[in-house]
Amino acid sequence: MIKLTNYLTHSYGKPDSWKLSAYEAAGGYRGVRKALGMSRDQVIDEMKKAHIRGRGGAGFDCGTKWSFMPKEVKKPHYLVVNADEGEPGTFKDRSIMELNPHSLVEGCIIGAYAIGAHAAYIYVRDELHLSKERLWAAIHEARAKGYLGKTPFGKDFEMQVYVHTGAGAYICGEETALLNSLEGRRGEPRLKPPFPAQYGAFGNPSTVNNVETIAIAPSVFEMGGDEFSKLSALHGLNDGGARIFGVSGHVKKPGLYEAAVGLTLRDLIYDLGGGILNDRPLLAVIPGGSSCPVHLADEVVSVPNDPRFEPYNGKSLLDLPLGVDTFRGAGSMLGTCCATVMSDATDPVLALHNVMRFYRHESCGQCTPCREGCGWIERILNKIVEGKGSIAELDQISEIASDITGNTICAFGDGAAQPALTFVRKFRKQLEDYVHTGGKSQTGRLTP
Amino acid sequence: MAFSGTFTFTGTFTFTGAGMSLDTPLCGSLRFAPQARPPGKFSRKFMQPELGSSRRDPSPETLMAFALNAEQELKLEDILSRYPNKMAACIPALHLCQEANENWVSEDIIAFVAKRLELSTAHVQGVVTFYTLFNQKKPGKHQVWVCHTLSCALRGAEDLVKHCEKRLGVHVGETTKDGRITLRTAECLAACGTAPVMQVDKRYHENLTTQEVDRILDRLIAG
Repeated sequence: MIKLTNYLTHSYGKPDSWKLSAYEAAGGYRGVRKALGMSRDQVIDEMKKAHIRGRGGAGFDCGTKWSFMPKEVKKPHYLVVNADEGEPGTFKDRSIMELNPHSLVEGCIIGAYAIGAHAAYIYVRDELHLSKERLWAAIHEARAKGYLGKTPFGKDFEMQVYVHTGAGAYICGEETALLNSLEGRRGEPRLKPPFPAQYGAFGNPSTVNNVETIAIAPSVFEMGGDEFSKLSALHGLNDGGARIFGVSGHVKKPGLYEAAVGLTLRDLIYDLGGGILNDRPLLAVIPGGSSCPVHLADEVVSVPNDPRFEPYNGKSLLDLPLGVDTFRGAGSMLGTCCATVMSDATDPVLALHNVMRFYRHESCGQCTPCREGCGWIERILNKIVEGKGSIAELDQISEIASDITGNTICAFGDGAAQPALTFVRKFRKQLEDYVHTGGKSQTGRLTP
Repeated sequence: MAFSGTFTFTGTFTFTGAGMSLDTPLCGSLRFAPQARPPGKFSRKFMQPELGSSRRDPSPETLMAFALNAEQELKLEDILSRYPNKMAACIPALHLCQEANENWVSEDIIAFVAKRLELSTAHVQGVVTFYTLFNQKKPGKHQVWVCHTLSCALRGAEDLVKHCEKRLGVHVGETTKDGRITLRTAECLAACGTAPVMQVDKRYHENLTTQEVDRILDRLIAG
């Protein structure tokens, strides 16, 4: 069921959509006025009612996360926005920062108010120069209008927003690595606990949220949490509202589409995405960034003994609504909701090789299983792609990947192991073909 | 039986290391000669061998102390005002200095940032070597990154990389002979919907074709 919305994307494609005048003309900065009229607890409750699941990949409920912050402000609190977008296949946050930066600034004020913070840092990856420029411009405009500063909207609640830059490290998208990087250290993840809500940025209580999670907050307060949550077909599963879906790879119309939660992969690929390039059959799809398991076109949902899955059992995975719990329950992961589509022209062995090269390059090197394991997997795949691998080495890939899972400080290790495990399981035949014949019967390319 | 033995130590400790002076301002003079290692199983030679190398060669530039001009100093003050402590300004300050120094971080910059932010040079060096976008050697005047991660690769990025290599006459990680263009590959530039993508200095170029890449490279070559 496709229900397109335009809470964040209404300004996309319009001239000067990143300016304050355009944002206000479209009804901007109304949500924050309502939020600042409430108490801190009321704001958190409203957010809980909206059932916004974190848009950065982990899918944690935003209102609940905010409620973890200490009620009494003894030390400075910080709101940190994670704009270190770099998950292969994910490209939604950049569009918000470039085309609708004021929604993020407005969301920062609401979020900071809810957690008792007076400063928000937006951690933008260094490559996104236009995003940084537009965000700074938006912050300066908001400051000049008095929306940021000593008394935003007449409320005695000092508020500042700053843009902080990384320097090219995917791992800084992990919240504790991001905090280390914000503090001016190497971006290596920290052990949890203590969680950021107790010991975050600069040793003070902090909340780290994704760009989209924060940017949608103003719409929640304008509509009301309940109303917003009910947009979603998965409202009953506490997965509410609308979000930005992306589709890339072998589709005719790759891009971003904002829609109510409840969209299926089939809707995303064949309807919004316009179908597969050259009308070829679908080989596989990765639902939300390369850290998610890969799925074949003919996979079916099978979750017996769970009443929530009754309507979907036996149906194609492509017809399962894209929700955090639906995908987790089906043994997958929703991630960032930006699907990567591969037609049957794709050589899955080369795709795996490409993905594992990424993880080897981006492993921060702190934990041995991940640092060495990602390198081993890539070297084995180098050999296999050259036709020099053996079946024993092929089996080693799964072994190494299983040894990484759960044995590292952060979730990067699991994210790196996931594609290795699922590709090897689902494309065993193709990998063996590479071992035996050097991949003669494979396409040998990734392009359509 | 109670233990009643005695131990006497009759050896002497003498430190006979070569006289390394500890007041050397930079770690440069303590550096060991880089060992040539054959590329193989244990080599951790990464994607960009030329720029990503962790040991920097001494060059005449490093002998000149680094300083920011008045306008850049103001920018640094502004950066410092955003954070509750000085350490947090480390990465933005390094970016500022790198831009002021033809896009690379010299030992002088490390010393300068360490002094200004009251950090150890080891800390700043650790930060510089961790992040991909701090160049430890001088790159070309223009830097070209071609994204080659999955979504771009599915749309032909690998062919574009080869095309760029041929067009510029360099391998990935190298700079053209005239010092104008450094070609590099990037891991996911977060523009998968408009793949293939490349970044030239601070600008993204999306939905690329080989013709489009040629036009961009021609402009860069012509200056």
